[in-house]
Amino acid sequence: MSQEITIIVLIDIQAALDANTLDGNIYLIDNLRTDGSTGVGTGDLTTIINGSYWCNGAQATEVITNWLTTGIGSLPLTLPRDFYIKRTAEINNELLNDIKTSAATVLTKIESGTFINDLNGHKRALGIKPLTVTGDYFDSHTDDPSSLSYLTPIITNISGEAVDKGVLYTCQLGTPVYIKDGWYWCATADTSKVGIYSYTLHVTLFKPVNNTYEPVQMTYDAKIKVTSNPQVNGFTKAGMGILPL
Amino acid sequence: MQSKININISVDSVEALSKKTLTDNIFVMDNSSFGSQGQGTATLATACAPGQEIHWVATAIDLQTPVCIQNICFLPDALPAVTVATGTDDSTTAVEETEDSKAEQPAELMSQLDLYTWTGYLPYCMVPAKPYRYQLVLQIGNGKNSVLAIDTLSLIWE
Repeated sequence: MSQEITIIVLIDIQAALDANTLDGNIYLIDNLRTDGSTGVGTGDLTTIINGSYWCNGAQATEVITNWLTTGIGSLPLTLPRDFYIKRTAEINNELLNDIKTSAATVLTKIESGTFINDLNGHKRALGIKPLTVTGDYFDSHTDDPSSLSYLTPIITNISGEAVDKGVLYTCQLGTPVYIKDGWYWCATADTSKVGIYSYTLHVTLFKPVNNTYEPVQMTYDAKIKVTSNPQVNGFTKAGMGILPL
Repeated sequence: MQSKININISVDSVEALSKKTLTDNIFVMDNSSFGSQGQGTATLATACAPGQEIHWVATAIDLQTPVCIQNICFLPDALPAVTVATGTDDSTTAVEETEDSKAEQPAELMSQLDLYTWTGYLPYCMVPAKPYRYQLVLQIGNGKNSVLAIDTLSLIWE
């Protein structure tokens, strides 16, 4: 079926950070299981790419693949992009109201925010509060650490055999679509190169250390399987002809 | 006279599968310079002339849903004017059948439908002012109710 391919990259963030690897902690899901993708829902996905060509050899079907990351323990993708910021403002308002009862502890909560270290070691304030997976304020002193919601991992590159051999042409695109969080990776395929190719996803996870998120970069390999068949006329099952009125 | 007329069928796959019908869920448009009636509906009568090439393309409104043309077959004259779209299993919508009815109910799923290009020439034996109705069979995915048909579209040499 000709449709855009979507690959969901589902990461068990806490386990991946603890083991420092994505192996065994990642699940890849695409939307072409009925067309021949294998390993859907496991870490060993081979995405089927069914190509076709015209009689002069030119590529007929356009194949576009999109990758979307999400984490087990992240806030759901269906929330709007400004959810963290809005909840932060709401929580601050709730805490300001609590000042009447207990000023000291509330002030530390109000002043608590999160920071992120970039790869050069520069620390930036994110301007958001740590939230639990249900969107409540996460108090690092009192709440169970496993209830902290993780920032969604980000794909930073796609490389590997499929890219080197000119099978996948990748790009990172900006989008206002909220579930893609502003950026997503996309690729078109040269379906004349039939075969099975591996590609490498470069993923950055964010590890919360006290109130700072440290970037942890990991890679993971998945595969595509490219097939190509000739286009034929639907009426004659061969070349062009007269319509059978 | 343009040598080729393109007919684009836009399909709301989710609605079509949910309601098990193509009625109200497809929007058909063509670029005929003769001015066809019913643009954007499922009752488009494409105005054309013998010798022209007609090319059908189906596109899904939601890009990440699969839609393919499984078949286009021209209906014999004996069929009545009333038409419905049905699914493969026993649906509640009725199909009017006459004794001469040859429009078959779409049955099996087919694979690799995106290898087919639906295009052909209009023959010179075409008669003017007569609507040549055809049944459009779409396959949306690979499920039990994925094959849906509608036969309210036609070609006409005005």
